[in-house]
Order: sequence, then structure tokens, then C-alpha cells
Amino acid sequence: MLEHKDGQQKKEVKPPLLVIKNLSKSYIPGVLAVDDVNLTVNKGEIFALLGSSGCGKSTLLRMLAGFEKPTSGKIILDGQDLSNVPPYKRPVNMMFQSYALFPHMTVWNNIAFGLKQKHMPKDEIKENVEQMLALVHMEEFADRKPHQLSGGQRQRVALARSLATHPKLLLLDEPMGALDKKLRTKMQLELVDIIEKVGVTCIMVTHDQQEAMTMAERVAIMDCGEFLQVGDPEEIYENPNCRFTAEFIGSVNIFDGVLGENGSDFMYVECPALQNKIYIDAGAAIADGMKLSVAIRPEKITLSKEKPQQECNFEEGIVDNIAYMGDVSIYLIKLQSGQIVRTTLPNVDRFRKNQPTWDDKVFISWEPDSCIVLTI
Amino acid sequence: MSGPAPEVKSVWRLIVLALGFFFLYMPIIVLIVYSFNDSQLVTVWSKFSLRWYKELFVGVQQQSEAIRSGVLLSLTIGFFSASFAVVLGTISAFVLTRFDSFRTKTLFSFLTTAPMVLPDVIIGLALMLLFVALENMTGGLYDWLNGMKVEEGTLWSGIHSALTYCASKIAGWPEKGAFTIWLAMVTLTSAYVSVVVRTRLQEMDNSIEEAAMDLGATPLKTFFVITIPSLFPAILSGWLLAFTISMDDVVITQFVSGPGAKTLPIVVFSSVRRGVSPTINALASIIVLVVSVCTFIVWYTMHRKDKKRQREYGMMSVRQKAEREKSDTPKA
Repeated sequence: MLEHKDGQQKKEVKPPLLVIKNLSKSYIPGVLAVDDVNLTVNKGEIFALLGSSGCGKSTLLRMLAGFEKPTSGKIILDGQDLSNVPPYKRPVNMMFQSYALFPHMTVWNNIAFGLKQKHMPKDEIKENVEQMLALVHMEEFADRKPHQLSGGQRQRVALARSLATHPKLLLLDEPMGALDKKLRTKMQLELVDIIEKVGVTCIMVTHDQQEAMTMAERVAIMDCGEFLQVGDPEEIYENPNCRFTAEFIGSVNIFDGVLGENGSDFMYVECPALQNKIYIDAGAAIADGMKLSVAIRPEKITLSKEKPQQECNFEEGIVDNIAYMGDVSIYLIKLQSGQIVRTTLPNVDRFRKNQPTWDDKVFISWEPDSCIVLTI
Repeated sequence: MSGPAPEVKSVWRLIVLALGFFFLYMPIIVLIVYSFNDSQLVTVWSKFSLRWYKELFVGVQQQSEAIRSGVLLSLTIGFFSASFAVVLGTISAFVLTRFDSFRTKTLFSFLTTAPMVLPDVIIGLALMLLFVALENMTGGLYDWLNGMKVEEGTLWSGIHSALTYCASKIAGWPEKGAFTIWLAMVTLTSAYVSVVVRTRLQEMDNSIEEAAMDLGATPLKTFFVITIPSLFPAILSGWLLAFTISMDDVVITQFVSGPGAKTLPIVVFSSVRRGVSPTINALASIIVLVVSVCTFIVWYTMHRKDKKRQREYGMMSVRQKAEREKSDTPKA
């Protein structure tokens, strides 16, 4: 996650700007594309909607822009109910995935378009456009047509165009979707920089979790039109509230089991796939013998050649496969039960010196507080 | 054999090429050559002369005059029908691609393209029958009003005389002539325009219009400021297509034209029956010349533009590419 310089302290004092109440949308009767969504976005916040394609995130964004009419529910922006306001009267601007720059207009005219619709005096338009061009470092390209620009430049023009009218809310639809991977990381940081400089509230839609975690202060995980979890990136990664979120964000090892012996500050989980019990140093307010899953992130599993000195939270297996990624190696360990466990090992030495190799007998172990207990 | 095909200097290739060009252009060359023929007979060469060109432009023969007025009428009808067809065709294309599906969308879509697939003879006949029926109706209305017995001095008699006056104005409308030809051509060519524009609309990025609305332009303004300019190439080619089609249509025009309105193709056809005058050769040569020059100009400007773009791109690879890269890196 990007460290927002003034993030934590200021967050509490930010007043809410956008309130979404019980918002639903169905295209076909009986099928909800967006299902009873409630959300509050604070002023100046960058909020990301994250989900796989078809999860309803784009529909939600289009409802905010006004291109789709909600079936039920309310969208309240800064105290104004937007539900029946057409897109051209909303103080909301969108940056499209394809950028949607007007091909027959120069960069200058593209940026000035929104201001002209507001019937702003000419000299004010000029001043505003120049300010925007400076903001995105595109001054020398003002007379170019969109087809004469590179992908990154087009994106910056699109951003300048949507910021020129000073919207209350900025919507980003897959902002990096049209860029290649290397440029993406650069532009992510630059985009956040510009958005924070302007101070506009921003909602973005993406299917790329890395992008959401880099750019957004808060992330909502969407599936089948519903919000599964809303929180800051760290919370969502370290403390997912359901199996879908755990599996969607990053990679994870999941062991299905039943709750064994437990107390107020500890519990044991017995998993058929594991030989030893899992010990978790947190209590659970659930009944004995209940079915649950334990999720452990790969980087929190330690790989060793010697048997660890502990009674639980370790397992024996053989190296099934190794994926060399450069900075880390991903090890797939086959347990005796046949389940494959994924773990990572940083490549501290060159050429994986002293590291286990294929078909080696190894032990994996983890800390009690690395376990995430999931009941759904 | 592998590798690039070796260049075969075969005689056959040359012969095939020559034959191809011969088939394509020989008739036109013959036509042009005979337009400079002095003889009254089209097929017998006597000596070089420009008399048929003179005849075409300033000749007093009945046929030359018919040709001149025919050219003028064809151009006029072509211009106006293409212009109106572009409006109708664009609107129908827009409705068919951009509106949510409505109950009769498929039917409507079929109906707009029907004039393209229906035989011209049927369209011509149908239009002729329609125009005749309309003529009878307007004439009948006037006769009926005129024959009505009305008391003088009442309110009704005032209304009646006003109605009769109006009916007398439209009686016999639409008289077959330039107007009906124009109507028929609009009917035929708007189908072509609709198809051309629809193709372009379908591949156009919807989000451009959405972006305009998002930035505060009303749907109507978006249509004129964003959609129409983006569609302009398609609208232009639709216009040219419609112009060409209505310029040289014979079959439908035959059915709907009246005694006074003779378009160029009709003049040519009717003169063929009486034996072709070499004036027509002269006219055809001029048309060939005009079309060739226009095509050349279009080709040349496109070629220039292409070259320019290539040059720009080439320059970009050295200077602007570096510039691009520099500007893609985040500034400190």
C-alpha cells in the first residue's frame, strides 16, 4: 500500500461526500447486477471497487456517472440526491477505460470541452486549460490530436479533461487497463499524486488487486453485485472475512477442518489433510465440532529442512515444484495427504544456494497468529 | 520450392495482364476515340474532328439540347436526393444502432434495407402506382369539393371555398416529373446511406458520446458536436454513393418520370433507340475525364497525407519517441 503522507490522522475528520443507500440494478427481471449496496465515501478519499469481470463493479460506476438508472436505492452526493439527474447535469466526471478522447479535437479542445459546456468566458477557459495542461505535464502537446499521443500521454489528457470542470467526484474506469505493465506502475503513482494534489474524491474500478492496493485508501471487494468486504488494503489482505476475499486477494493456502478443543484464548483445529493439529492463539465464539477453514498466506509459512521444535503448526512434505520468480521462489510442497501447500522463499543468495530442491523432504511451519479462521 | 518466389519473367503473365486491361479499358478507349470522329455514324471512322464536342455544348440539335438539360436535371436530382438521403439514412442508422431494442426493431431494420434487395422494376412499379393513386386522390378531392352544393353567405361556405382553394392547389399532386424522381431516388438511396453509416456507428466507441455527456453536453449537442463529426467520413461516402446511384438510375426513373423530366440516362436510352448520335460519345468522354481527374485528386491527396503521416512517424522514431518516453516517466 502506498503510504499516504497525511493518511491515518486525517481520515477520521474527513466528512462523508458520497452516500449510497440500498442501491440495486437489474437488467433482466430477477437477476441483480448490483445487489443492495450501501457505501459511504469520504471527501478526498480514493476508493477502489475490486472484483472479477461481471461482478457489477462497472454497473455501479455507470450508475454513479448517470449512464444507468438504478432499479432501486439512492445515490446522494454532497447532500444532493442524484438518482434522477441526467449525466450531463451531475458534478461527476469519469475517466473512461478507452480514455474516450474526442478524435477530431486537439488536446487543448478536449480539455476545454467540459468548460465550454458550462459557458465559461473564453479567457477563464484558457486559464483553466493551461492550468490542467501544466498539472499533467502536457503543455507542449496542446495542439496534438489524440492519435499522435502515446498511451501514457492519452491517459493524462483524459485525466486533465475529467478534472478540468472541477467535479465533486471523479470516477476512474480501469484506469490502467490500456497501458502496458511497465508504464502501469509509473502511472499509478503519478495518478495518485495528481488526484491528491487536486484533492478530488475518487472512485475507481479495477480487476487488478495490485492496482487497487497501490492507489486506494479503501477497497471494496465485489462479487455477484454485492460488497463482500470493505476496508483498507492491509485489513483486507491480512484479515479477509470470507473465503472468496481470501482467495481473490493474493494467494492463500486453505485447510478445511473442524473445531477441536478450544478456550477463551486458544483453539485447536483438526484438519483431515494435516497430520498435526493447527493451534490458533485466539478464541472462537463457535460451537465444538463446527466445520471451518483455516487460511494461511504463503509468505507466512516457513520452510526448513529440519523438523521444527513444536508440537503443532508444522507438517512434513516433499518439494513438488519450484517457480523461480527472481526476488522470491515459490515452492509447492506436497503433503502426505496429497494436498499442495504454496510457500515463498526469498532468494537471499544467488543461484538458490542451500535451498531445498525438487523431491527434497522438507518441513513447513507457521506461527499461531498467522492463521485466519474462516467460517464462510 | 522454398524461400521467396523467384521472379518469373513469363510471357504468359504479360499476356494475361494485357488481356485484363484490354477487357477493362478497351470499350472506354473506343468510345473516346470515336468521340473525335467526324462521321455521322458512330462505327465508321472518317477523320479527326471536335464537331461533336461543339455540338454538345452549343449545338442546336434537339438531341444536344435534351442531353444538356438531362445532365443538369440528373445533377440536380443527384445532389438533392443524396443530401436528403443522407439525413434520413443517418437518422435511421442512429435509431437502429443506438436505441434500446424496441418491439419492431428487426422489422424496421429489414424495411430500411429492403430497397437495396428488391428488384428495381418492382420498386419503380410500386412507386408509380403510389404516385398515380395519390394523383387520383388529390384530384378526386378537388372534384368532390368543387361539385358540392353550398349555400352562399354562411360560415360553411367560407370554409368550403377555402378548402376548395387549397384542394385546387394540390389537385393532381404529385405530378410525375423531377419531384417524383427525387422522391423515388431518396427512397432507394437512403437505404444505402443507412447501411454505410450503420457500419461506422457500430464500430464507433460508445464511450466517446458518453464522455461528452459526462462533461456536460446534452444528448442533442453531443449528437451534433461529437457523433456527426466522427461519422463524417461515412456520411460523405454515403452521400457520394447516393449521388452516383441516383445519377445513373434508369429503371426506377423510367417508371416515375413524367413527360417533362428526362434525366441523362433516360435521354441516352431513348436516343439509342433512334440510333446513337456521336454527341453521346463526346459526353461520355467528358464524364470519363471528370471522373478520372476526381479520382486522381482524391488518390493524390490521400497519398500525400499518407506520406506526411509516415514522415511524421519516422521522425517520431528518433526525436519524438525519446520525448514520449521522457514524458511517460513520472516527474520528480
